[in-house]
Amino acid sequence: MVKLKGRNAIVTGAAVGLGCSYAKALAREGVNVAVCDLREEIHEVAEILRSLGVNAASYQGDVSDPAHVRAVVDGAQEEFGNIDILVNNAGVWGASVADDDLDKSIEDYEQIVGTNLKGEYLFGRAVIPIMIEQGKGGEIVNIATDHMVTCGTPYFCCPKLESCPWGDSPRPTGGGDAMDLYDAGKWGLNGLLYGWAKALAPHNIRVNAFCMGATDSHMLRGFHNFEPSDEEVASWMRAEDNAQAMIDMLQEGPSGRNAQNVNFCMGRPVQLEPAHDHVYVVPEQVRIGESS
Amino acid sequence: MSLSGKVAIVSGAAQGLGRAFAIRLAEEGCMVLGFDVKKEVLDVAGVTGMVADVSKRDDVERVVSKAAGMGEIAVLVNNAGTWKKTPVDSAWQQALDDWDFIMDTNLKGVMMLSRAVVPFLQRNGGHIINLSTYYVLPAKSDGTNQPDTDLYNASKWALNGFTDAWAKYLEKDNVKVNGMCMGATDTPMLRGLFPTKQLPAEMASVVMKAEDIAGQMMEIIASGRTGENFGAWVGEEITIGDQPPLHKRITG
Repeated sequence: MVKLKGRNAIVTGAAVGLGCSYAKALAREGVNVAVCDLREEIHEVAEILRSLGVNAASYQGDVSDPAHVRAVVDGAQEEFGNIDILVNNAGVWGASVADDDLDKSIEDYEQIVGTNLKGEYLFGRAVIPIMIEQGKGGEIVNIATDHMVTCGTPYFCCPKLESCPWGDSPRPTGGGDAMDLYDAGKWGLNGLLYGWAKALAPHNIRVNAFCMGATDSHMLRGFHNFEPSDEEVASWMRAEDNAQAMIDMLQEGPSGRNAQNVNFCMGRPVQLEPAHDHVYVVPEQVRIGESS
Repeated sequence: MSLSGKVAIVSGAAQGLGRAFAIRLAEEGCMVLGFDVKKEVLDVAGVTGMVADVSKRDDVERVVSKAAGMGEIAVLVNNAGTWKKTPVDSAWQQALDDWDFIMDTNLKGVMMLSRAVVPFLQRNGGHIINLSTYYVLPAKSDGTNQPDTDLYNASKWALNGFTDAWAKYLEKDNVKVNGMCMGATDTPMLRGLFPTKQLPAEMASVVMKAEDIAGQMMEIIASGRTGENFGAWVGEEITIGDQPPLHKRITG
């Protein structure tokens, strides 16, 4: 197990929900954290992180804005000296369907794909040259969705719990019909995941993704008009549990999994499952320490 | 559903796969509107050509308006796509420019064109084909999801979200939506990857032909299946195969 203490991280979208939990969990492990969010409350999160005994920096802005991305990454590098961990968490949800009019659709595209795919692209591309230059490896984790995951692939090591809502009929691709831009942005993350993992394995930089199912968060409560029933809330995963899984994965270090979508599916224990077999890449190409 | 006399729109129809799709749909009796940024699209036999850029909203609206004037739109082939190397350590401004270069065509363009066409397809049903790549299906070789094409990879993976959601949403309107995920096909895009603009001999002898992929497209349309990614691999028979179980239709 690799010690995280003294490392430096960036967590995007960290004012609330999963991002906030990731930032706090990292701080508890002694990781200095730079956080950003659209919301002003991001500065209060930095205060909490400092109270946990680490250095913190906070930035308010939009991850789809290249100037904001540079401000966060350059600011974090100046503040901490180097950057070891990027948690690409910021995301937005919005309904969009195939027959929306063009005006709405172009706005939705800029906001939803802009945040969920371009934002993660920009942060990755800002951080990657720095991580390569440092020469000390690194960790990039993109936050995706369980809409991209089925029981067939890429998740092979399902414990097949009795409580699984899918039972013997494998879970099809999720997402429904009213999230085409949300799902497109999140599916697009696979392209970054596999491309980056192959390009960065020789630099000891791991790239993985968490495919999140329903988690008690600002986003999911918003989806339920901020009035979810107690029953619904009880069925959701807790962000704190997922943050522990994030720490567990980061502690695997360079010998751990790479280029993997780690699935967190409602109705299953929220814990880091063993790495699964690769489906969309040849394993040798993403093995850390070997040239691709 | 017979396509005879119906209108088909093919983006990126000047060359390669798009040209083959347009010609084949015309042979099947469609009135085909093919458009491209390249003016050679005006010379494709049997196809009404337009010079237009799928990444530009005004052009998209011009194309769809023209197509609607030709008759009942029943087929949309989202074929236009662009490719370039986008190394992960490129300079910041380059990274920003690359995003626009790839995504405006391969993702935003597909969305805009489809949004503009869907209301016409909803009238009497129809077909949307999204041109993807075998990168989004389980890897059979080390050539997929290249390390220096992160944006191209992402743009094609993103289409899974469209194919899946549109197939579900448009089921009520009898509009079928599928993705085509082919490996190396002899096209100007593929030839362009080589310094001589010619395929190496060992590759030339095995790559698939655009006409055969067009045949696969017609099979997909005729099958009435929806919400699937159909693969085509070098060295294997080009077919649509049996319908996979629901949980494998997009992921392969």
